[in-house]
Parts: sequence; structure tokens; C-alpha cells
Amino acid sequence: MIIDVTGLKKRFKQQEVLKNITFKIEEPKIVALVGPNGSGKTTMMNCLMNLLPFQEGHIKILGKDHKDPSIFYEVSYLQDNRVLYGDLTGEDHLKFICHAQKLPIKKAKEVAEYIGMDSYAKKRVRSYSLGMKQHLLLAVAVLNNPKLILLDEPINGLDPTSSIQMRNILMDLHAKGTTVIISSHNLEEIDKMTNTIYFMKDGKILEESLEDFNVPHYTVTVSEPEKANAVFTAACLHVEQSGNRLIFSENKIPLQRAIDALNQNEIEILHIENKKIGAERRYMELFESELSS
Amino acid sequence: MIHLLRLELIKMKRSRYTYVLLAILLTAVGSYYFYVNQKDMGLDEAQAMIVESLDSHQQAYEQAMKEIEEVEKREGMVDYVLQNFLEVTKRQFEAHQMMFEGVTNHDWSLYWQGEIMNTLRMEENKKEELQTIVKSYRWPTPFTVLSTMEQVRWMEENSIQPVFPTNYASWHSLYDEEYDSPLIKDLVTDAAEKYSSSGFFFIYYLFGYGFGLLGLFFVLFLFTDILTKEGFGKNGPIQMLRTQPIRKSMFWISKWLTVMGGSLLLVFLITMTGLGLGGFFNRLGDWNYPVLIYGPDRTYTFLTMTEFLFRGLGLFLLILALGFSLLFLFSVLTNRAVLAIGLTVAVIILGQMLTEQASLLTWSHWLPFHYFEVYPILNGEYAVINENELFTYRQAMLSLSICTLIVLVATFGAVKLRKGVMS
Repeated sequence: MIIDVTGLKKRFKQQEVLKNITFKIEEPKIVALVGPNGSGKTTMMNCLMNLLPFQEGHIKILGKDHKDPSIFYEVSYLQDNRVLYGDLTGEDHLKFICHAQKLPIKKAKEVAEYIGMDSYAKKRVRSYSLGMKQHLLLAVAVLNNPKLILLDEPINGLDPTSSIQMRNILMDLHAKGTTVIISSHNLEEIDKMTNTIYFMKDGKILEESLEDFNVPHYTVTVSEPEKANAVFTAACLHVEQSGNRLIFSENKIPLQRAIDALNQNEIEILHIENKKIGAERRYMELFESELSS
Repeated sequence: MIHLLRLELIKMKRSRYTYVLLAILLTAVGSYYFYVNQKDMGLDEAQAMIVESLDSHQQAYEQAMKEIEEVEKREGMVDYVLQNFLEVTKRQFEAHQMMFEGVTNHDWSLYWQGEIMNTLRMEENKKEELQTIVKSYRWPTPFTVLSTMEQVRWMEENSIQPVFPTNYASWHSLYDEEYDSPLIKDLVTDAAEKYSSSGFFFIYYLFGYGFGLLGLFFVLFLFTDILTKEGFGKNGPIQMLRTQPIRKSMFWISKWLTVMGGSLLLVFLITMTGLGLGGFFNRLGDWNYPVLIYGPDRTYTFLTMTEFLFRGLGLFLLILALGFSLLFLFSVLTNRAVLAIGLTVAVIILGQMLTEQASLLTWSHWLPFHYFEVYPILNGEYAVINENELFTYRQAMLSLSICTLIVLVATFGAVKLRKGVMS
């Protein structure tokens, strides 16, 4: 078990900001936390990392209580760049983490090279651009080869090159068996990284583990949508209907099978369109009220 | 723990604020040294003064001799008073001859023998005075004369180079409350302000200022940067430290060790600077120069200057410990380092003001704020001034330690309470 959260509740004074959150991550994956500002993403991450106390619930990280500091030998948290010391150099930060993590000092240099920050590692952080600071934060986070890494809006404000670099590094980490939990507002980047998105709203996870929502979908426009829907329902296959359009998920009903079924029942196919739902569309559906207001 | 200490050192090393404060400190130390050096009555000046004095005593002696010869011729005999006068002037003349030779040949034992011979009569008189008057307040009181003579004998035994002037008109003590005239009072007070730019003496002056509120506040401000850098209570580097495999208590312990170790390092730096300046521009000085310690009931003892400074350092470290305990407590309570420092300074100043008013209470000696100036406590002046013999060095160590412990327990309690409320 990588993360096991049960009944997590957090209040700031009278306001409940996390409402009975429960979820588990059992195997290495990339999980995105998506939600509007104030939905509780950062608060939840801070609670997971024992940076914020909470009123109710239990958190276990890699089988240990989340308050056990030894979890940080295997867990990293990339926060915003205010956690860096302006007067210290990037190298100072990396060397300190090496000492704290009981890693050989040469690892600092290796990671600086891997992240691509070796050219400015000896400069004071105060002189760094936003992208450079994000790279340093990432270097700090990956130094210990974590089994779990949490990233709080790491892509915000990055130029396209840095964003791509950041994504590649995270995908690389995931490929090596690291679980990545990332919060971001950049839904396009999220789509490129993961199928698993936790949509958060008002301190709750609205949807979790949408394993299939990023797989190819297609829309078939038919002459008799009600009849068509009944055909699939009779075969115990779920189809989403919108007007005279039926939306199929490729991994549940392959396109050819759908066409065969419609033809057998003499239902005219007017149009077929390939489609991917994607995080953005799902976000629009879930947060329709915010968007319309 | 070592990596946290190393981090604190790197933070100090990279902090411009630290360098600016250290530069200000070293400039102040250097300027003060040159002030002391200007005020220092050097050997040439002292020799000239002794020569002048020697001449006048020689004249007085010759005059007395002449007078006696005339009386003897005229009256065939010399009375006891005149004979005695001749002896006194002769002794003073010989004493000044010894002092002159001592200064000329840098034979300090001889110099002090001259000073003892010069003041021996006064010492005898004061011993007699003690038989009849229990407590004298007129300058020079028996306390002043007897303690100074003992000090002089100590210096004679150890061949210690004097800090000029050394004549009896340059001695006074806390018990000298009355003077024959305001002019004499001014003369004695001025002459008693002795300056030596030798290394040991200079650091003795320096720590007279440093081992107290001035030093405490300087150190607090010097290490402010270390505390504020973490951004307690907000999203600062503390968040990065807290996501490392480090126990929270280690942050506090490492900070505690850093500020105490840093303070020691600072004292060492100042000591070396002082000794260096003294050694370069004058001389290293005498480590065993005697420092007068007031005891109960007009008793006195002496400490060597080195022992005095070491004891002073011990007390100052306890003052720092209490200061930093308060700072840590307020840091925990307010979660804002700058506010915590403001509150610490305010509490210490207010504490001192209120303590002054409470000095008559029977348990007043347990209040730690009495002990924030080291020298008056260590040399017993504070006890004499407040007429309370319980204000001792030992009591200061005890009160400061207990209070520090209480504040630390309160800090620990505040941390636990906060955890209990919030999680």
C-alpha cells in the first residue's frame, strides 16, 4: 500500500476544508489532483506530508504513520519555491539534502546534471528564474529516488521547454516505479501524463480512479437513438446518449462491434466521430456551474 | 544533527546581514581600542609624572633636612615631630626613587615596593581607624586603602606591570561616599578611570560592555537571520526541512546549539581581536591582574582577570540561554520570528524595570532579571549597591538556570498543547 487515507477531515477555524476524504493508492501510478483554487488540493497534500495537523482521520504512507519522519527517506514533496533559501546556492540545498538523506555527496552533482541545472548550481537561489527554481525543487525532490513523490503545481509558470522537461522526468520516475501525485491546473499536461485524475471540489474528491476516461471514445450519430440505446442495454452494455448521438468507450465496446449491432437491428448510422473525452471535458462537465458563472 | 548544524553555518556564511553586523562589531571594537589607547597613560607619561613627583619629594626631603639642621644648630636638639616629619619625607623620597627605578628598568616588583613604602603609613592609620570606627564613608575609607594595598602586594609578588596612575588618589571604592571637597571627589574619580590598551585589560573593558544587555541584544539580532530564514508559521524553508527525515525537535536543538556555539565563537573572535590589537599596539598584558571582589560585611577577595573573565563568560552564556529560551518560547507562541524577537527584547527590558522596583522583596534574589549585567554581579557591586548579600554570582547562576529550565519546559508544553489542539 502506497497511500491509505481514511476519513480525513480538516477544519480551519469553523470552515471545513477537507470533508471526509478516503482513498487508497495500492500500486505505482501517476495521480493528478485537479480542481479549482480552494478545492483543498494543497491542504490535502500538506496533511499527507504532516505539514498540517487535521481533526479527524488516518493517513498511512508506505505502511507507516504519516507523522513518522523516516517516511521521508522514500517520500518527497515538491512545494512552491518559497521553501528555498534565497541566500544559499542550489548546490548548498542539494548537499544538505544529501546529508539529511544519508546519501553520498556525489549524488548532488549527478542529480544536478540529470535535471540540467549544473550550470547554475553554484549561484545563489535569489538570482534564479522561476524555471530554475522549479528545477532545483525537482532536483531536491528526486535526490532520494523516492517511492512516492508529491508535486504541488510544479508546472505553473514554466515555459514549454521546462514543462516538457518536467513531464519527461516525472514519466521517467514513474517508469522506474515511483508513484507521482501531482496537482496542476494545466489539464493538457495532465492528459499527457496520466489517466488517473482525482477531481476535487469543496474539500471532497468528486471522482477518483477514472482509469478509462482518457482512452479513445467515439460518437455515433444514428437515426433511431432510443432503439439503438435499447439494443445495447439489452446486451448489458452501457452507452452514453446525448440527443441522437451515442458515445462509446473503445475498451468496452469496440467500434466494429457497435457498427455490426446497429446494422443487425437496421438502425441507420448517420455519422461516426473519433473522440477522446480528456481531463478538460470532464472538468467542464463536473464544474459546469463554476464555468457558467 | 550534524547536517543541521552544518546548514546553520552555511546560512551564516552566505548571509550578508551576518557580515554587516560582524563588520559593525569589529569596527566598534577597533574604534574603542583606539579610544582606550589614547586614554592609556603610557610608560613615558608615567615616568615623567614620577620624575615630577620624585623632584618634589626630593625637594621636600632636602628642605626638611635643612630645617632640622637649622633647628639642631639653634636649639641643640630636634623634637619628635620634626624627626618624624623627616622620616616621612625621606621614606616618600626613597619610595619614589624605587618607583622611578622600577619604571625605568621595567622592574615592576621594585615599582610596587616603592608604592607600598609610599602608602604604608596610611595603611597603618586605616588599620587603627578600623579599631574605632566600624563603618567609614569618608574617602579613602579603610576598605579602599586596605583592599588596594592588598592588591598592590599581589601585583608586587607577581611583577605585574601597573596601570597608571597608581598613587592613592587614584583609588576609590563603593564605600567612599563622602569627600573632603567636590574638587577632591572629581580628582579622585577622574584618576580612578584607568585605561590600559594591553590585550588582557582591553578585553576586560570590552566584555564589561559585552557581557550584558548590549551583548545579549547584539547576539539576538545577529542570530535573528538564522531564525527568520526558516519562516516559522508560514510557507518558508521550514516546510522543506520538515519534509526531510529529521525530527522536529532536532530543528530547535540544532538552533540552540548554533546560537550558543555561535556566541562562544563570537566571544572567541572578540577575545582574539582584543588580544591581537593589544599585542600589536601595546602588549599582551597580565592575565593575572587582580580584580577586586566585594564580599559581605566589607570583606573582599581578588580574582585574576582571566578567572574573572571565564566566570563572566559562564554567567553571560546563562543570560544568553535564558534570552534564547524566551525567544524560542515566543517563536512557538507567535509563529513569527520578528515578533518573537520584539517580545523577547520587551520582556527583558520590562523585566529589568519591574525587578528594580521589586528588589526589596525577600525572594527578589530569585528573579533572573537582576542578573543581566555580569560584572556588577561577579564583582559583588550589585549586592553592595542594593544592600542585599544574596545577589551573588552563585545565586545568579542558579536563578538563570532555573528560569531557563522553566521557560524551556513551558516551550515544550506550548508545542505539545498546540499539537494536542490541532491534531
